[in-house]
Amino acid sequence: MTVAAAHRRLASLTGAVPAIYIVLIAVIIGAALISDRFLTPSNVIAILQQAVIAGIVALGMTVVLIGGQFDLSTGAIVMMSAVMALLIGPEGNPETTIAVLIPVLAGIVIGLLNGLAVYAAGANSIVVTIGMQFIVVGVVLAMVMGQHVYPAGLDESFRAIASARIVGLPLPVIIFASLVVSLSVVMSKTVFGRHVYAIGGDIEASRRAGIPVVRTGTLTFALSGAFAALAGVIIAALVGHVDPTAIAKYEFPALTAVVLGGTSLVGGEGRPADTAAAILVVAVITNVMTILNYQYPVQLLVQGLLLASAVAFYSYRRGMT
Amino acid sequence: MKVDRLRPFFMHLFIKPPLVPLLVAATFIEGFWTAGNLRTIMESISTDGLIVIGMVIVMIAGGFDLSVGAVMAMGGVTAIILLPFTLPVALLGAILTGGLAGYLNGLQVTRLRINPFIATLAMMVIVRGGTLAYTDTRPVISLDESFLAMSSGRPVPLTFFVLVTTALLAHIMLTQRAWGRHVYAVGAGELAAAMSGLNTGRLKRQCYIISGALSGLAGVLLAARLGTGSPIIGEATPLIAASAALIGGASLKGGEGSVAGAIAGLIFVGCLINVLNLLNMPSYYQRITIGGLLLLLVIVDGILLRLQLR
Repeated sequence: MTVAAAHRRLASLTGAVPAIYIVLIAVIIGAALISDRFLTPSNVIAILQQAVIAGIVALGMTVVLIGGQFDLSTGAIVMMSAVMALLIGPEGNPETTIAVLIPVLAGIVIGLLNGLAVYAAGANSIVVTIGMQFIVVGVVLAMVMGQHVYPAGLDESFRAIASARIVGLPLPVIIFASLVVSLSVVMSKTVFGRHVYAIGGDIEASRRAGIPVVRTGTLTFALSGAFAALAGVIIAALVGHVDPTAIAKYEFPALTAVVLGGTSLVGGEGRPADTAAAILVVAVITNVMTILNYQYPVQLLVQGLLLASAVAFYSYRRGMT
Repeated sequence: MKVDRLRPFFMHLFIKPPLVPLLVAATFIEGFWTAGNLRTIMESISTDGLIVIGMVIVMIAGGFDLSVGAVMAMGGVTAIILLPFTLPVALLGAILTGGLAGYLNGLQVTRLRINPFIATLAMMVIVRGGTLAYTDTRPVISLDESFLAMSSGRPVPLTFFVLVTTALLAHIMLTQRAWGRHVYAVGAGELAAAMSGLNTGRLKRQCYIISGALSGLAGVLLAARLGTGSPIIGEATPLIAASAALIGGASLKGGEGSVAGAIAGLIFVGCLINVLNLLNMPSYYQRITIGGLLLLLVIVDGILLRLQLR
């Protein structure tokens, strides 16, 4: 093999691997060098636990963004769903099942409303979903009168949603991994997936080609709502109580991961697996900052910088080609 | 000619938004038409109004600014931190840092061609995080007499005159100067504007700078009113400002809107929030109202745009 051929081979290899995986490996190596506590099994499990919650939210937002729209109501849906799951008072079966199903259904309904406003009425998705965020948070706060939700008896079957372990990994991690795999299949192999890419690529052309734009697009928001609600149920099971006024705003880390993973801001491009890799990058960086004792405000600042530089990087690269 | 000029104003007062009907309904609420309450409304409209002016200018140019609330919080904190170096330095510092945030927004939007919502969302998170980190999430307090005096004045607060002056200036810039026509042109069709020789990038950056600087100034006036610079205020501000601008005839597609309309929209939103306060509604219901109002407005805006296209 000549040197030139080897170069070509290398180039095609690095070209085939999205930049985010290289970033992920670099971040992990960097983190391991900064702190020897980083690669301990308990810390790795903790990172995964943290990553999957924002990760599930990010997966739903990825699908919406591939369709060319944004869903910023997800953070509010996470909070609503966590409160609902705890209010239903999961004290054993069948309540555990209900405590999962009802919040997810509510998430789907909110997603459908978002989707209809955006695709049927043609409203701007960012403004719609921020408006929805205010409505949902307002309704939940009014429901619990701003109080901390702290149910007395939480059944083990409900706590198990977060604490059960399969082959050493927490159940949420397994749920997240299976969601990544199934969503990847749905997006690349099914008609629905292809339609979402088509809508994100060119909505007007899709409409003319006979793609059910309103139905497909609305479904992407419903999916995002369901995923966000599932994440909320997992938080409820993990923590066992929730302070509705203080719950983290999951839409920012999730959006950061979606953009970092290379999903195009104008739609039509992106892969769920890349978002999953990006959420690990965000989680590792957050974890290192926590180890180094940087608090939430600095983490927020870094997240914003990460979002801005990811957006800048991808639009710069798009401008080059 | 005269009637033509009056009609939009009439429209703003009675139909979109139904301001006069709201004010008539408000007479049945005890305590609305008192000097004290009207002053409260004027105070809140003064600070939000500065932001609305910036927001409507950005929207006319076809953009959007989600960072206004965070920049406002930063403005208040900056002013109080700089207060030991005299009042003018504090004022200037807040306006300059706000303008800088706006300039960075403009750079992202024009040089990197980033969607304005995402660019200003990222700026919002950065500014909010920076302000929280600097203050360690605690409000900074000022008891400086001359600083607090900026919010004094009875029955009309001084800040209200700042708003009126700024609004008149912005109105003149937008309607009587070439610059204003250029801004409308950029918003209505950027390509056409660029082809006719306008420096569209610079115009847009100027709009974002104005929005950032006015948000910073609003932050100073708010801090003067409250006596504290809080790093967490202004979460709902972009929603209120966007609602006011949309009510006042602006469109998310750009090229439309006016300062007078946006201020009328803000008076409506401000009175609505005030009425909810007088009815002793918990703040949760205000969130629902603001969110619902905005949702309704963008849906109507979207449907109207669709009807126009056909």
